Amino acid sequence: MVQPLLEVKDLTTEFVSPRGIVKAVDNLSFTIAPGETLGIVGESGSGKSATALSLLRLIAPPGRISAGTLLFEGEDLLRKSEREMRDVRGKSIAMVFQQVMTALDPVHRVGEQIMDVLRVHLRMSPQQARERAIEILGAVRMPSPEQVMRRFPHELSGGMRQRAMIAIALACRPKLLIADEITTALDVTVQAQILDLLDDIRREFNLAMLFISHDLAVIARVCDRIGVMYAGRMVEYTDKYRLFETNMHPYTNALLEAVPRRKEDELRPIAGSVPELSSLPSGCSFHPRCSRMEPSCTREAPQLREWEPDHWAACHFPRQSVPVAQPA
Amino acid sequence: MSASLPASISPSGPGHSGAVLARAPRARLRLRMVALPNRLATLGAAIVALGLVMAILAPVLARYDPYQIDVVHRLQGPSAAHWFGTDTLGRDALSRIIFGARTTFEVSVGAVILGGAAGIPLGLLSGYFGRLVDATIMRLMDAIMAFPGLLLAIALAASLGGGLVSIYVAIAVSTIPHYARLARSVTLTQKARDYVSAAQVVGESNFSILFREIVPNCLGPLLVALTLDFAHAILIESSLSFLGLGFSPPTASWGLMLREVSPFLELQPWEAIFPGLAIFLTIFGFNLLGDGLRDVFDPRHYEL
Repeated sequence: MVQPLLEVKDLTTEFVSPRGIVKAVDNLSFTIAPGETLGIVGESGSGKSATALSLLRLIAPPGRISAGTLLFEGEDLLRKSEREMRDVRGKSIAMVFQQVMTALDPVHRVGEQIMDVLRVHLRMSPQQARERAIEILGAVRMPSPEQVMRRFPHELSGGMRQRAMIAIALACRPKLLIADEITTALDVTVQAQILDLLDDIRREFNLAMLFISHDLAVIARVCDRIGVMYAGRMVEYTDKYRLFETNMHPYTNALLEAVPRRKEDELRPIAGSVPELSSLPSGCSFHPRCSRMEPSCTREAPQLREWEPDHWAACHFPRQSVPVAQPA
Repeated sequence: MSASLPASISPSGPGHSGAVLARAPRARLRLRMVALPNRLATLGAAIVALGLVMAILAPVLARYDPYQIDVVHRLQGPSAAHWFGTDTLGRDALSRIIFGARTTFEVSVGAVILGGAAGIPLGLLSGYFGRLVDATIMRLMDAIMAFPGLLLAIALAASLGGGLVSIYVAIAVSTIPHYARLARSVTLTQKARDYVSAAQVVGESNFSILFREIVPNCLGPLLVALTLDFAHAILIESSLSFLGLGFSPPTASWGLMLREVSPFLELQPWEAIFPGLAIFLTIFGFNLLGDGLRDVFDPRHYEL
């Protein structure tokens, strides 16, 4: 097997609140190979974004990473100094997130913002940085890059801003791109364009991605492997074909069932709601909403186990379900 | 039929002119609402500019030496020779007001720069780093604020012994908490913005995020506060001088002019009216200008 680019082992991120310690990410492990795309899917509050921020060590107090190792190219990010981490952020690991409308600084021109990253991380001269910025804007298929360089963020459309954000992220040719709900704020046409763009970019840059979304259709389209998160834990983890066709965990199954289909009029939502992280149910956190619940589920939390080669699930009663949906 | 269509979807046809008619008054109203504060702000800017010109060109504009004593012609009302009359020592009041503008602007500029230079960085640090830094700085500011501003300025001016520097310090110290609190609050709002997270994600340092990303976004509100604080500084300086804790005679200062003439108010009210008006107009001008700037920087005017 290839040496993984990123290897996350037993990552636990917790927030100290007056009501006690809340584990936003609980004992999470996964790996990403160079050039591979891992999708993380889950409902709001399942710990997807906390995972992303943990990888960059940008969890602000009262939150903290309390356990685990984050091996990136063999080095543990958790052992790095803050200064070393700053060098990793934006240079080796870049991140793009959802808030396209507000994530660019309104007082600086788009060009300056791209050039800044290049100058900080690669110590480029203004002239070099300029040329590189224009080149990158071209790579993200920005129409008339040279003019966009001089634009302020409010002069760009949502799709263009997202392209600009991706350009900033790619400026230093990172090895890993964390994409946190990057298409959520965009309308479907622009969404499709951005996803096409990501496909091209991954190939051009040999970029590994951690793609976070709650949208299974998007995840299915972009990712090679998928992890399903529930209440801060990974409940199922495998490649995308197995996940869609022979998933094991009842939550994955319910998520796929909940995807609206053309033939049916009614939606099939998952009963109940995501539990409060501060008061998780005993045993398996999913048991109150689970169709396969047995008494033992309320007592003991299932561990993530490799039931078949490369197919992991955290359930006492996993099963080979009937195929429910094809990747969209 | 077309009349019932919303204006936005009837771009042509018979409904078109109706829509334009319906929209026109609203557009005009909006224009007026924007223009009115702007006109007042322009007036404010004009008053401030006038004061500034007086201050800079004082030796050219004044017809008399403001320190030239002429006891024979003391406490005279306005006349062709002395437009604003003469004071208790027979000095030309207009010339003293013109030179007083110089004093006033010197003090307000100095005090605002000093207060802002100390208060704004404190607020920025407090807002950005939060926690212990924030608590320490803000409790210190609370301690200063526990004293009423003018009282603190009086106490400081009295203990520092008068003169330009002590007035600077007295005014600056009493206004530091104001700047610090404002800078802290605008920093807090900006810090929560996504572009700050975006800057962290690309590995910018705290220093760089604070000064390259946050500060430029805070300039609007801070500029407004600084403008309004000129007015405040002028008021404190006048009060201090009036109370005998600011400038000492024979300096030409508006507050001091009021003080000197106060025993003769019944005899010669003119000599109190002119410096009083000068103080009032300057403060009024700064306030109008500040309010106008506030409208310009109002977040509601920003495009998303």
